[in-house]
Amino acid sequence: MTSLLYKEFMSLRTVIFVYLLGLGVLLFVTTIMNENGSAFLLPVAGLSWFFIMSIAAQEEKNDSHILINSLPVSRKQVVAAKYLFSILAGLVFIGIALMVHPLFNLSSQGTNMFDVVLTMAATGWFAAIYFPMYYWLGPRFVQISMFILFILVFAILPPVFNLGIKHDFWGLGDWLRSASLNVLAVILLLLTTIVLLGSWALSARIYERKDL
Amino acid sequence: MDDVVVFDQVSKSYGGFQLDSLSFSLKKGYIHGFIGPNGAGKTTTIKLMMNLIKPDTGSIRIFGMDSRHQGKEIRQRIGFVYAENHFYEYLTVEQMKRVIASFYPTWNEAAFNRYLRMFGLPAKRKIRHLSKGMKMKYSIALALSHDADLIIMDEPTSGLDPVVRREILELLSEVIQDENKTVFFSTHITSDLEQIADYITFIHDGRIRFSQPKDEILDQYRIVKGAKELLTPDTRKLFVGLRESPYGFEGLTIEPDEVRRRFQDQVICEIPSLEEIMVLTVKGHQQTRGEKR
Repeated sequence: MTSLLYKEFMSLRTVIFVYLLGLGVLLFVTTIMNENGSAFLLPVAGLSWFFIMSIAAQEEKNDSHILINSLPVSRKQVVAAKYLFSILAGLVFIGIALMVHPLFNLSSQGTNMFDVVLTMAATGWFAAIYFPMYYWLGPRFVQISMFILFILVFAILPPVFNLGIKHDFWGLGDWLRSASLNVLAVILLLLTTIVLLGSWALSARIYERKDL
Repeated sequence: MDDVVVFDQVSKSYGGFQLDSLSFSLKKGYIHGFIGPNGAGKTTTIKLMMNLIKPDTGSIRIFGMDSRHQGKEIRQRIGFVYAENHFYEYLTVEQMKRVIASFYPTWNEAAFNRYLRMFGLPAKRKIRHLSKGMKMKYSIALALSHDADLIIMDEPTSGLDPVVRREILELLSEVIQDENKTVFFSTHITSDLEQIADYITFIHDGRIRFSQPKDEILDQYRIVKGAKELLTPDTRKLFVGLRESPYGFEGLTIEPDEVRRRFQDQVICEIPSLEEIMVLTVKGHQQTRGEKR
């Protein structure tokens, strides 16, 4: 597994660097647009989603599936490495955002732990949906979903989010405030873990049956 | 003699193509040539061997293990050379090596460096800046540097100039000096195999036409040349494949004694090259198919 994670890192080094630059720009822009800076983790989730797609798309160049699957690894491990690397990358993005954000926003009051959990869950759920679809439908799915996600993240989500803030998320905000955030965070993390494990099992099953 | 690989009645439909009941084996310590025209099923067979695709029926055993269930253990002992480049091209020779080496506990850094020097491969150059021949040499260097017992090569010499091809063939001959190593080498350049192969497996139209020692094949087959008038519906049956011209015929037979008895000194019998065996066998099958239609 370490070798597979190392392979992911080596094959994505430049992409990671580009995403880190993108993260800096996003944090800066978010801080300017959102004065109290409470929503700065939202774009981090969006960035993680694109990164997950980059992880999958990486193997399509030169059909590197052939290379990886001729090495002494099982397909289950190949799939597990993709999930693990996605989660690790998501955590690194969140970690960097938490460290860098105060530099842009000196009046920041600190970050709500629930926002961090929410961002982690958003990354985990995306990976849980994306990978089985990718292994099932292949690279064409990556191109189409990249396009749809781009529209979703940059054209639809921000106005919907702003509308949500305006209307206090149609009662959801009240409900969330009345519930204990710690309990919600634990439930969300547990649910995300279960969904991720189920998704990994499904992806591994699909990939094991696939002809390369 | 130990069998390193055993294909037993393996069938596979793949990409509109059908491999039909493949049965053959690879003997330990020899170079096995795998020949057949383009589209005959060579790459599909190799993909089955590497468990990149799954057989519909039949079984494949490698080192006595089931390829479907013990693929990881099997691949630990295989060095695989691809027909196409599947490396991450933006990595350097050294970086890609580090990635590959991390998968093999038996990785031999000294051997790899020796191959780099032997092939003149620059460690710091990006893979995308290597020529086709250099990429192939690099792929071979990686396959030979983890003490693999079985080297599988898919068209390693195709598209390479004669000098590089000769270098690769000489290297394979060296590898096989260690009697525990086996080489399986697919190609449609049959002259390469005439130099180094011990066994030949011939595939055409998704079927194994023969799989036996090269010397036996060359003993068994004869090219017969004679006048066209000698060909009757009865004598045509003596030939696996026939090439006819207004001036005569050239036929491939596996019944040289019967041919000599029938035609006596009216024909010339010669030992065929592997290419002639391949071309005339393919022609024979095309003729048979045409007649059936």
